[in-house]
Amino acid sequence: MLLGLLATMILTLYAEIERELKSQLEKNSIYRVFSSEVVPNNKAATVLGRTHEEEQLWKQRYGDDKITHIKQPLLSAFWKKDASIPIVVYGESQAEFRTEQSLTEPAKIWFLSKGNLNLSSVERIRVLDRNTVAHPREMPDWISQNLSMDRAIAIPQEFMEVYLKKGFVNFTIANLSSLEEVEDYIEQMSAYHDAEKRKIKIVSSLEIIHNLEKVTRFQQLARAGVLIGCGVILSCTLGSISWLEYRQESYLLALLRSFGTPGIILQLHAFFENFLLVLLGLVSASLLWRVMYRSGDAYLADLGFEETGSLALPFYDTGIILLAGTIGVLLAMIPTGIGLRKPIGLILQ
Amino acid sequence: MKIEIQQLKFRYPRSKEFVFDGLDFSADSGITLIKGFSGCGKSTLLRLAAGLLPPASGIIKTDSPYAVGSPRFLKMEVGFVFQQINLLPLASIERNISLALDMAGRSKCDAKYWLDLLGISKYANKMPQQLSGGQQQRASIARALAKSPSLLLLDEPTSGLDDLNTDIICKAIRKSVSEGTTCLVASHDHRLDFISNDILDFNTFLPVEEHLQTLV
Repeated sequence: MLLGLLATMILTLYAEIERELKSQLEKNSIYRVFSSEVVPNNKAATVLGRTHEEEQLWKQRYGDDKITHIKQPLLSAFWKKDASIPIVVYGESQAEFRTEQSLTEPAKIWFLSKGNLNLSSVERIRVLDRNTVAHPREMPDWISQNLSMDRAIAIPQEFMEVYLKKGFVNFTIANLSSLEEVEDYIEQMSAYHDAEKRKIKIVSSLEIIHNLEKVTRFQQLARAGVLIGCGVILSCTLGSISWLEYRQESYLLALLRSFGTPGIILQLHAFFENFLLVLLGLVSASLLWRVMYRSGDAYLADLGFEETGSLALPFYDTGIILLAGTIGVLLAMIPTGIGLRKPIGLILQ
Repeated sequence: MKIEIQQLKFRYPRSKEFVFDGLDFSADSGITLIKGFSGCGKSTLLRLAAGLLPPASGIIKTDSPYAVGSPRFLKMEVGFVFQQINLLPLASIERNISLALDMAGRSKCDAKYWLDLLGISKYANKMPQQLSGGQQQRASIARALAKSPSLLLLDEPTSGLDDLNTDIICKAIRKSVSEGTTCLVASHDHRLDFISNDILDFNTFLPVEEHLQTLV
């Protein structure tokens, strides 16, 4: 029973850690790939002419919602007493910067900022020698996170074509959903740019993901080890107890048989006795896990773990526990089975 | 019950020596005392008669409708007192007897009669380990007799007991062996000679002198 309790505790903890780790990783966009390509002056016009086509290519391959493109020209805007602000250029597909009025009106220039800067409804800015206005709005997280910017001026691509042809940095952000997709994306992206003889810098968590996969695989092995170990120990314990019990009570069993009790009745009795013991252990474990979980509640909360509402034991783990229990019960039957085959007269003296 | 053994051969596992090599024996109702030197096969013969040991060859037949050694035969026909006292340790003396009666389909009320007959009434509610060796042996005999078996097998029932205990046991056996009951008593206790109707003496098959000679 205690062994069943221990196994359930370890497996529950492992399963919880895995679930929580995955949840944390998903929150921290572990499958995000960020790539940047510095396009020099002499190639800018050519590359710019193909960017729309390229953007469509990646979006078709990995999904519209997963790929985001943004460009940064090699110049800055100026705001209030010549404060320099980086410029980002958004394309036609950047829906979040395009308002409904954009269909009839020219696209807007946005003053993107994190937090409240006490901005008015429009802010005057200067790009090179031209003065214009920008509409303040909150900076999207994906820009601040990936480009590490607190403030930026977002200008539609059609306004910046001339400046982009003098060189720009092309950013592609891919929010993928699996390790395989990340691997494929990096491979495809690298191959494409190598073929084009263009230099691209790709930043991803692939190595971390690989390490995490290793940890997960190790965890699975450890879990299998715990399960098999517990199963074997459980079987051996039950078997040994049963054997010792049998040695101690073989005389009694033979005596009962000498009264005319059929061997099958004694065998069934032994089976149900062992089965009930194993069942008792499993039921106790499944009922007591919440108590154990509560005892580690404060510690788990410190780790940022959320409370779970149900036992997060994967189905196959439960299956293995039940299988181990059944094997234990069946192994425990062997000594009785062997003992019952022995003639009564050889036992009773 | 009549029991007939023909051309019985038996040897223990891992032993090359036959304990019985073509034994013919029959017993009718009454008490048959089986005597002989140690290791001659007295206890083995009782186990074979009850079907607790399988013979290598030969026939053991009775006039019971049940096969020798089958659970029904053991339950309905046989009462066996083994050499070692073997009362159920977790049951009281009364429960030991009533359980045997229950299994044989007889009234549990008979238990009191047998407890009285063997002088252990006041120990009825005690556990076996609380009784002396002689008292336990009497309880064990009471359990076997209470079934009113057709085949009563007693293996050294008075071994190591004083005259008083032996006397009580002898009287109980004599009283309980009714018409139609075959009782085989394996013993080298001469105090039992007077209750027997017949004696099977293994010393006549293999004289003690010859046996001792084989040991030399």
